[in-house]
Amino acid sequence: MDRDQTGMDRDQILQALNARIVGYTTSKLRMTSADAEDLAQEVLVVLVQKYSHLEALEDLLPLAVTILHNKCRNLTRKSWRRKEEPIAEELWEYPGLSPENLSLSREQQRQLADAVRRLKPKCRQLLRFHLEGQKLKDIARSLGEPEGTVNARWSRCRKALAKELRKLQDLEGES
Amino acid sequence: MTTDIRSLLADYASEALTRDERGQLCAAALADQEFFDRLTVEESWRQLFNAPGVRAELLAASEVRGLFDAFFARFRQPTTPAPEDRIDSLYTELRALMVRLPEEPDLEDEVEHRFAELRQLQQEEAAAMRKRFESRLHLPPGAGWAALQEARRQLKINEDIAAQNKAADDQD
Repeated sequence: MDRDQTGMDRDQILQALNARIVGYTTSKLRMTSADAEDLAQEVLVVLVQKYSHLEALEDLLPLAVTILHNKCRNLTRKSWRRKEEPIAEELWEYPGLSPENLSLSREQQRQLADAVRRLKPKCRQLLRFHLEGQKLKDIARSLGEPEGTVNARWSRCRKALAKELRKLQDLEGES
Repeated sequence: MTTDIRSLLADYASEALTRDERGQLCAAALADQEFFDRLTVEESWRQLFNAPGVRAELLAASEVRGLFDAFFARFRQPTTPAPEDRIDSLYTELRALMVRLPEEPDLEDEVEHRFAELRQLQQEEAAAMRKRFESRLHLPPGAGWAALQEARRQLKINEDIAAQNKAADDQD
């Protein structure tokens, strides 16, 4: 949505993003308010300094989330090295491979493929539909099932895949 | 959260949304904390599905096979997908990208990149096919004709059972 649709200019979008990031990191990642504020500021600094050419919300919001995830991951790694309690343990609930980790080695790609093969056939089928860029309503239509049913199954399948991916990350953390 | 927005959220990670739909989704996330939290998860999946190399690997691995194949797949080394599989997945990826291209001109580079890969794979496939075809042409002079005559002879014998019986009677 562009600025006309939201009625917000870039500064207002950034301000709203700041509030959402703080809300997310305090509630989901259980950060203290001060840490959450600091982290949100760091994300905004990157947006302001490196991405000043971006104006639209649909560009800024996904980018803010990506930067946030990367920063959380860095914090977790640091706390790991210091043998402290990881601050963002809940991040492991996500598929959570950051862009730098997404340049997977052949071995990691092989492990990822193995993880997918361990999923149930129905899950692999759903994954394939999604990877092909099909919309939920089209998938539901081709399977002859209600959208809600398909979506619920997809959610369970992703949890199973996230569990497998977490094993890869654990291996990565140990190495 | 309305059904429409929930449906948009379900399609976010697979990049099936138009730019306008993504805009609606982001606006909803900015207005609602719970929705923002859910979108952060979806964004994480989107990144995974669209990472270079990962998509093709996932597509190849997500193929649903029969029990026999599944058993032997355990012993197979999952390496780079076969060229024909990669061509199939490129067609799929391009189809999805081409739908979005009119509204998202930024995707042009990505489309070009995949077209280039597709062209290269198809050229390699065509070259291999030509090589196979030409290797069959390299029979010794007259060998192809002799083989054809022999095949015709065998066919005639097997088709004409009466002729076989007659030959047996003559021998008696």
